[in-house]
Amino acid sequence: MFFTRTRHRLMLAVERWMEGMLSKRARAPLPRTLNRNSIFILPTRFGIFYALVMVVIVGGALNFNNNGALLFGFMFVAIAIVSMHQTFGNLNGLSLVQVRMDSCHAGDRLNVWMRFTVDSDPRSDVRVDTGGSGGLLIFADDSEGVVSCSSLAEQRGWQALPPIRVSTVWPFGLFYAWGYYWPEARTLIYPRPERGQPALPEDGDGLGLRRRRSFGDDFAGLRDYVAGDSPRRIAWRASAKRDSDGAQLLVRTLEHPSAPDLVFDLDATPGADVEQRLSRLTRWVLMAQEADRRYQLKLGGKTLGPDSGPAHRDRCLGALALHGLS
Amino acid sequence: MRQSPALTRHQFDRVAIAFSACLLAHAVWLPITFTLATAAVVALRRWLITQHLKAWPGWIRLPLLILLLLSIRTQFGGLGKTGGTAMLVGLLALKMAESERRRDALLVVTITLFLIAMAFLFNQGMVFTLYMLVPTLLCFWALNDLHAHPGQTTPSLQVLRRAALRTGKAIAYALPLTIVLWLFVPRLSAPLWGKPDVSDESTVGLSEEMRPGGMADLLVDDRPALRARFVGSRPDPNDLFWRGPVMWRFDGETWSSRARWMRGVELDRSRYQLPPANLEYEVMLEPTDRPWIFLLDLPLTTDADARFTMDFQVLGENAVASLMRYQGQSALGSAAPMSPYRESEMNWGLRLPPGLNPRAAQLAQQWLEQANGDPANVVQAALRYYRNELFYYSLETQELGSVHRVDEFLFDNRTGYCQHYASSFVVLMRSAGIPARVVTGFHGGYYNIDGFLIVRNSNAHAWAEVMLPGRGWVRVDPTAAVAPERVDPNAAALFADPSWENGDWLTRLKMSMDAVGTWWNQAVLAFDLKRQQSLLAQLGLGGGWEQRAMAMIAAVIGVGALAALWMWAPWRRRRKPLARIYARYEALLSKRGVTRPPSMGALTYAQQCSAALPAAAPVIMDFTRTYLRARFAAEPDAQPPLAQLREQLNALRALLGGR
Repeated sequence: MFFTRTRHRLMLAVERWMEGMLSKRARAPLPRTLNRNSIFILPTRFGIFYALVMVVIVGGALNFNNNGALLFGFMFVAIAIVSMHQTFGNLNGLSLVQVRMDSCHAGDRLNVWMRFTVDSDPRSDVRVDTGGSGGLLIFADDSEGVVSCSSLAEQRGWQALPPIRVSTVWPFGLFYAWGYYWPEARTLIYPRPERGQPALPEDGDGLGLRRRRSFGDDFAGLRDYVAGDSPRRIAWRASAKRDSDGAQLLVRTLEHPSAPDLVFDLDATPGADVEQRLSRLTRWVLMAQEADRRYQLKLGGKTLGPDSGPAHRDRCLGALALHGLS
Repeated sequence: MRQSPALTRHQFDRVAIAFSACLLAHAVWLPITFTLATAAVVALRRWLITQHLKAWPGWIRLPLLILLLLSIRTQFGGLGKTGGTAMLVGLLALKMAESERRRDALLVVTITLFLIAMAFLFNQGMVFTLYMLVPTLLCFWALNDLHAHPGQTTPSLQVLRRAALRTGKAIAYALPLTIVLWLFVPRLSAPLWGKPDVSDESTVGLSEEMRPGGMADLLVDDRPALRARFVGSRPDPNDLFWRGPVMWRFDGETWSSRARWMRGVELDRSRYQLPPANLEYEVMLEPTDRPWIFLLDLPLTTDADARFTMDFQVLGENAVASLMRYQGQSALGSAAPMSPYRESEMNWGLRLPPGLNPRAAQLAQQWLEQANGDPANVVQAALRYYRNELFYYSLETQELGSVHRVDEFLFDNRTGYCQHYASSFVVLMRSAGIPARVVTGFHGGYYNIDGFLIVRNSNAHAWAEVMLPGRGWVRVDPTAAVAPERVDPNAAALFADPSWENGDWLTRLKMSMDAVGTWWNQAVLAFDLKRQQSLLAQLGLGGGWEQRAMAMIAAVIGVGALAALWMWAPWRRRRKPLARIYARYEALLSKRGVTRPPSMGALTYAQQCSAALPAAAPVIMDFTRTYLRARFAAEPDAQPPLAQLREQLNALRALLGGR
């Protein structure tokens, strides 16, 4: 028990020391490859127990000059030594080539998606942890593996990528090898949207959206799919007709000739404090985008729009995320 | 503390299989009931898992543990070599049965490795050793599986195959290192603790006592007792008497060499006129758990750690607990005249239990009177008696139950084997006032195809020695005096030594197996400090400790470096064919000024290239499509359309080069 705790404390100290080192060494642009300068390896607790048993086996076999037992005792030792190299080799040459952090709202899961490549054999059982969550690196083919971790986004604003730790105990759990990547990357965390469907500022009854939808889903035409379009609006049949490969999807564009522009003004929004009002505004932006309405966002002295579409939405959400933050 | 993850059924199976494979090895010596009971506990647990019964019921532990302790007590009589190992096997089975979490399973696998090593206390044969690779492989396979991600609860055949392949690979890489460690890690000259003769079961073999009927078990056992190879020509088979325990004391029933003062007295070579050695040989002695080192009569020197007693017994420092290899020199067919006679030796050689065997005493007296004072004549009279009277040689003896056992044999029964003849002969001689003693050992043997003389337990023999004035102790084999027509054909068949020329295929197979086993014994099992030193001397490292330590470190580093080079061999780090073709494609295009950052996908790259090189756009897109289809194919094992890709690449090269 004492031993475990001491070891745990020791590991923590080592890790803290390494976090310090990281700021100097792991901070490197992608792609970055782990090598013998950046991989750490220690026996696991099981590895230490295994070593003790091996001492007993080899000691006993030497003492009684039992050649069979000695041969196998040495074989177990040799396998452990080889496995140390294998554990190290499982991380050696592992390159992080791409990191993608999707923007999300506070309170949602922040997904960090990473792509690794290797120049030799694919790796087994490599664990990737970042920001308190982890996953197993999965190799789809021989040279490339992807993993995504998701952790809870807590605050709006810029979120920097925490250090990425890769670790493995493959093949036999006798040794634990680990290394860090810490590329410069950040993403915007949008404010947490208010729950429910608060009435849009133009019409007090809150039925505006539904009414307009029943009338106004006027089909205006087709255009190419861009990231962020609602899947509901994908014209599947038309897409299939146009391109047999299905490489490019089409979405329907709608027109709301009768709907007036919406104006979302922070100062005119009800709410106890700024955060609550930002939450309300965030929900409104999402609702307006869903309804494909044109809207204008006013944040203090800053005005965005009026406009519509995913790009405008992202601009607005970005402004909301950073409002009041330096 | 964090709780260890729960064991999946699949992981339990792996560990159980590894344990069972190890149990199978121990079944060689464990009582069958114990093996079955152990296997049953594991099987029961496995069945409970299939029944979705979550936990091994807690109350069952105590009764099972008590049962185990009882069975150790009754079947093994305590925690000796066998009892201790059996205890460990039993406890491990119980632990296996209650394993719920990964850490339990890790413990079970590690102790299974320990049991694999312990199995060599009971058997070190070559086939057995090769078999032990199976549980070893299974243990590491299980370890590999225990650390796999819990996502793989029911792994596909492909995953299983890959895991087995990699475990096998780890062991294959480890083998050279194993051999280096085994050859060069310094051996101990003597045990640091304990004694190797920890065995508590009675092994078949010659002992320090010869009870009535005691050798019968030995005579029907055709396992090898020792193997020998002679330097130079083969000696006359009739001279091959391997000298073992010498017995002086007779209580009317049992002969024994237990006279402690005698065992303790070293051979005083100055008292004897020792003949020169006429035979040099090498012996591999199977473990006997007794101290006797068998040399041919008359033994002169050996390189084993042994001492000669005053009656030419050769006793090792410790009991022979594992295969022992040594050299010896003997003077065949000679006796050693000695001077002066030692009074105590004479006294012991004449001692008889008082009041027993009066008829034998009478007969001996009669011969002595006719001998004209020459003891040699008495010996001849006795041998004539065995030949001319109706003595039979047979293992089927009938004891009549008289206290005068020797009289019974000499006058009533007249059927017996070597121990009866030797015993009665010595009693006759002593009655006639001639010092005599019983010697046990082996006689005969047959030559295998590898040139080794194989002496089996059935070659065990007892003969006599009488002290004749001026000649010293002279060997007399009264059993040989029995008329050949009165030898029981069954017994004769039993002792007939097989030969390669006359043997059937089975005999030849057995002899071949034995030759391979002999090689194994010689090369592997008999390797000890002495052989290690001579090996190092051959490598030019015969010096002191420092040099040996240096040699070992150098060897380990050398093998380690070789293994590391092999494992991360840069020349093997070539890409897979698909990636190689893509790299060529990329190199071709980057020469035209379109480079691909590592984070860019193949499709985006193709679009950029098409934009930059519109003439080549259709070929680039074709190539990219084929490449992507091959790379993200539904079946990863499918053969990629390399020929097509190469064709498209060549088309691209022609197009761009022609520009």
